[in-house]
Amino acid sequence: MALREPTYFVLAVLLDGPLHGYAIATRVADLSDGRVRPTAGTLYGALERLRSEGLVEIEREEVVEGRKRRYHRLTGDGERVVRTEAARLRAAAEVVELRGVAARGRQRRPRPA
Amino acid sequence: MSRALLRLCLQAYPRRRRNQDGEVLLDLARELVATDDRRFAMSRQAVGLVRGGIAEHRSRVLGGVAAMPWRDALGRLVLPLAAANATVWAATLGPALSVYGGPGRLWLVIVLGSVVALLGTLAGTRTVALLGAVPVAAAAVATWGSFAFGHGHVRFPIVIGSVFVDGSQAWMPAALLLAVACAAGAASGRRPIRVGVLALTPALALGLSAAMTFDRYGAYWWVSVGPLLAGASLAVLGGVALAAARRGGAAALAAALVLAALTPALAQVAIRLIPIATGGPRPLHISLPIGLAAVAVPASACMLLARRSRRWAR
Repeated sequence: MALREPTYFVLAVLLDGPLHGYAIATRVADLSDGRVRPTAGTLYGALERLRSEGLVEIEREEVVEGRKRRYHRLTGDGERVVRTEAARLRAAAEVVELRGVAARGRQRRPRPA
Repeated sequence: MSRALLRLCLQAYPRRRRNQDGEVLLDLARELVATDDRRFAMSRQAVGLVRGGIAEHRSRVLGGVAAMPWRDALGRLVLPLAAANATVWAATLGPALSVYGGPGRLWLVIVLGSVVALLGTLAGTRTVALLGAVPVAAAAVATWGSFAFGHGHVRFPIVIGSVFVDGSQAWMPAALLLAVACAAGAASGRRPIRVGVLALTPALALGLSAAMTFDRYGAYWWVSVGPLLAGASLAVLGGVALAAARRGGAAALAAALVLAALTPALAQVAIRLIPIATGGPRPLHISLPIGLAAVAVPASACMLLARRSRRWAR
């Protein structure tokens, strides 16, 4: 089943390694050009769901400048799921891109006199 | 101020979750507010916390049902449905006694059916559960049908404030769901045609009930407008919830339930719009086709569902 966009980006940023919630939220916003900006509530809910599905796991917790931070990392299943989704999206994009190239080629071809 | 607001919104989460993860969530929300230069950053985080809390409650109440295929989800829901069903019907005895001086003649059958459905579900014998659920669903649907015929002698009034709500009509979508759930369980492993017959049984019972109630006329058809809306709303809400639970299969289930709830209502409206003399029973040539149409649509929907359930279950 296709991943929803926020879930896809959350898994994608975790490919870089273990991250805490704030880092995940800001990187998701950067990677999606600001299109996906999860709130604390939605990000926490998504991480909990992914954790229950075995796609991410908690690595550690630490306190930085008085703030409690929890680091999440991708599991093997999580990495497999996000890479499969990326391949699916790439294949779907190719369907359109190849047609774009073909259409441009037809426009450039000189018409018979 | 901002921390106080966020802490207040955090109350939307279940207590156990607040105790376990509240500080992490709160700190995350505060950091995101501090680095968000857009307007309403605080409001966004506050709303996000409330929405997250509500979603958490919802998932706790539904358990794993939301992530299941609809057929498995129905299997999980059948016991609470059967229990709620037996409670609702038993609770209609008091108002029925006070308002009408006694329950309708089908009351005993319906209550017995509810109890049998509950016992069958508790025992894990779904054929018994189905045997109990069928008369309940049939009676609930028959009330709608009987109003289409101008008479509602199987009504079970529930008093809400100063308004009478017809329990049987408002409960119809749930009763249908119960019957479908029991049918799906009882039919597992059977051939598709038998699955269809099992799912069709409540609707056939409806047809018989409608035929039996044809010869009488009641002047209180307007009483049914409130329950009609309540029943339709309940069906829509249930349908949306189930569709959200699983795209594809549950959407069809939702559509069937909505259709089953709305068709008798539409038939009722249609028969009211036909200009005929008042004060007597509707002529057979008008009411019978509409009544049969009201039976056929939910019946077809249930049959289609039961047949498709085999494919979805794979």
